[in-house]
Amino acid sequence: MTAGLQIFDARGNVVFDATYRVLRIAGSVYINGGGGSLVDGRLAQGGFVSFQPDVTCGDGYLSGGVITPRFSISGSTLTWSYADRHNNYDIVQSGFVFYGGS
Amino acid sequence: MTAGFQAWTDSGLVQIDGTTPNYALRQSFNVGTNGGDMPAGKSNSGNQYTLRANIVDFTVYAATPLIVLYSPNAYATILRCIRQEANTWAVRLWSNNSATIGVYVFDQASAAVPSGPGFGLQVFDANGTLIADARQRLARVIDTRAGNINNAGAGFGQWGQVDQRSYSWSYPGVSKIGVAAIGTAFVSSPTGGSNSGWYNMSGLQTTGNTINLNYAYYQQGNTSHPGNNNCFGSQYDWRFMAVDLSNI
Repeated sequence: MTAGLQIFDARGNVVFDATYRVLRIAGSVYINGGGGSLVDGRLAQGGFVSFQPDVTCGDGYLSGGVITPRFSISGSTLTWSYADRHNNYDIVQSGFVFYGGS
Repeated sequence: MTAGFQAWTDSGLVQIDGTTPNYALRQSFNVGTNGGDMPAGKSNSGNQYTLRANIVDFTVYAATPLIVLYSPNAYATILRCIRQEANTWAVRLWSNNSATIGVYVFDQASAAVPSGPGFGLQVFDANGTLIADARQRLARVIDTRAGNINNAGAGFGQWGQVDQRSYSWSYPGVSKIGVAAIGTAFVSSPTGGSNSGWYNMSGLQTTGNTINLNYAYYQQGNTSHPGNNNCFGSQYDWRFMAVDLSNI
């Protein structure tokens, strides 16, 4: 590297330099069915989504299914969506979403 | 920002911005998966059926946990991560066989301050909250991957049974790679009640700088192999983020 911050551990290993893509935590949102979106400029250079599921697909009813969320980042916009229910035995995979820049 | 410290990559991407907390390593430990009862489906009256599987439950203390797994001896995944109360999370892992799995918990820099004497560079925001510390190991992202086992749309439908899908990625620039922000493909049917049925699960094995994903069929008890699955297409979604664990 020719410029930028370098960090070494106690054994002399480089643990940070100007080539590293690291995560910045912009915020969190709890999702529980239904789609949504938010705008955060820190996502524009590339973003991440880390979903913490409250339920598993084994928690659903045999006569239904488990609607798990999908995520996308476009520019500064994070979007999440759930498919429509097909009957009253469907359940939703809810949980916290952490998001930010990477 | 009017004051403080910022760092960019050599290609101009922000690394530390002076106001936003970075993900920093808070703790690491090993857990062992063993035989347990894993929910696999409910009757219409709400009776929960289970199948035997290698699982482990543990608690993580973190404000905004990023849980990274290193699992060289089994395909593993995070089944759930439930917020119990502020800064307390109940985590369940699954693996395809009984195994020891390395768990690395990253959190906001201010919640992951190392003990002992300070040295090096610390970065604070305008309120005096620590957002980066040279003593901390920041979460370095190497790659992100996502897919769908059946190339399915998200909605409910009938899909052909897939017994196995396998993928592999190598990252020669690092010596040890972990997986985080995991999404699990999971379809199950306890056709004969508890301990009798089948499930399909995606798991991730990490060994050195290689990640292997395996989506496989698991059967137990008196059951028939399925020809089709009736489920939401999004249940076949998988995803992960590859995080550098070298020299930790």
